[in-house]
Amino acid sequence: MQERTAHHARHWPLIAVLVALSAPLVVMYVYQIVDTVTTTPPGLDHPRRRHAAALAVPDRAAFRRRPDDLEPCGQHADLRDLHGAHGDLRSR
Amino acid sequence: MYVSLTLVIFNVGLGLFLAVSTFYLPERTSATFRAIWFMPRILPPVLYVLMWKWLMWDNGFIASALAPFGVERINWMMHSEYHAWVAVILINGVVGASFGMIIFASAIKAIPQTMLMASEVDGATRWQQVRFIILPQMRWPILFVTAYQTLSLLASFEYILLSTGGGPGSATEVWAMAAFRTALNNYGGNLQYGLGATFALVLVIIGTGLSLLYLRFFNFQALLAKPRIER
Repeated sequence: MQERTAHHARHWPLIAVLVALSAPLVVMYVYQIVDTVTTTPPGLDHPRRRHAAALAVPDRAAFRRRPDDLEPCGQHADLRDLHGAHGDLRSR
Repeated sequence: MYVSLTLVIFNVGLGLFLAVSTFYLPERTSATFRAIWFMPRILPPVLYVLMWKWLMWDNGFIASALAPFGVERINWMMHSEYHAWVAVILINGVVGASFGMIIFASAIKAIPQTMLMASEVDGATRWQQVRFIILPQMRWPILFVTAYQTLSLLASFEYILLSTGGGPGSATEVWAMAAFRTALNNYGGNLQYGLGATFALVLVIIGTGLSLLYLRFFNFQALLAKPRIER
């Protein structure tokens, strides 16, 4: 175990450099996935598609929600937060 | 300038660094970094460029991340000629580094482990191993990556077309794109096949000349020659 720890410790500068180099790529992958799985149509934040914001339904989840689902819960609150963030971007 | 910067810094430089550094890391760690850097090569160009736009445009990640610090929201990809060229070099460079890493990593794996073990017994440092064992045996793959990517950067323009479209204005319109627009995609409708073909022919001549130069620079004849012991 001690040997393994020492082995990793020797590599930390190299790993730090690789993490710094890879960070932008990882950010792009994550952003791509988040944008795809959220209810906002993919690429809506693209400047050339701003006009599509007027056509997009801001909170499609609300249409699927039944009246008894309207109690505040963590999941919906998170969704609303996300929509709020996208709404801010669209308004620019 | 665009070809040489992309080629030296990213395709060969970064590719080589990624291959060598991941070679010395534990298997799982190196596999993670290689997977991250392998993706740009296998992603469809449209999706790959879209990712960069999500990162760099005025409502993208960089602008959103810097906005709380009072930095004006600008389009980091198209704000000026300088921004556009940096974006074009980065977009092409990361794909090139991905390609270079794959070639170099497989070439390093092919080096007999006994040589590296023997050098460790002799007390060689990692840098000495890279300098005197790994790099001398990488001449062939470096020649291949350099020549292949030079021709690729000269002739292909899809990442530029998808990212900046040759703009702002025609600042990032490379020769291959100029040939395409002149011969096949002229907005005015007066397609000039002959002029476009001439542009492309000039690229062929430049590519051939550079390839011959690389063969001489890397001493291609010596690479192909039989080992001296067999003469």
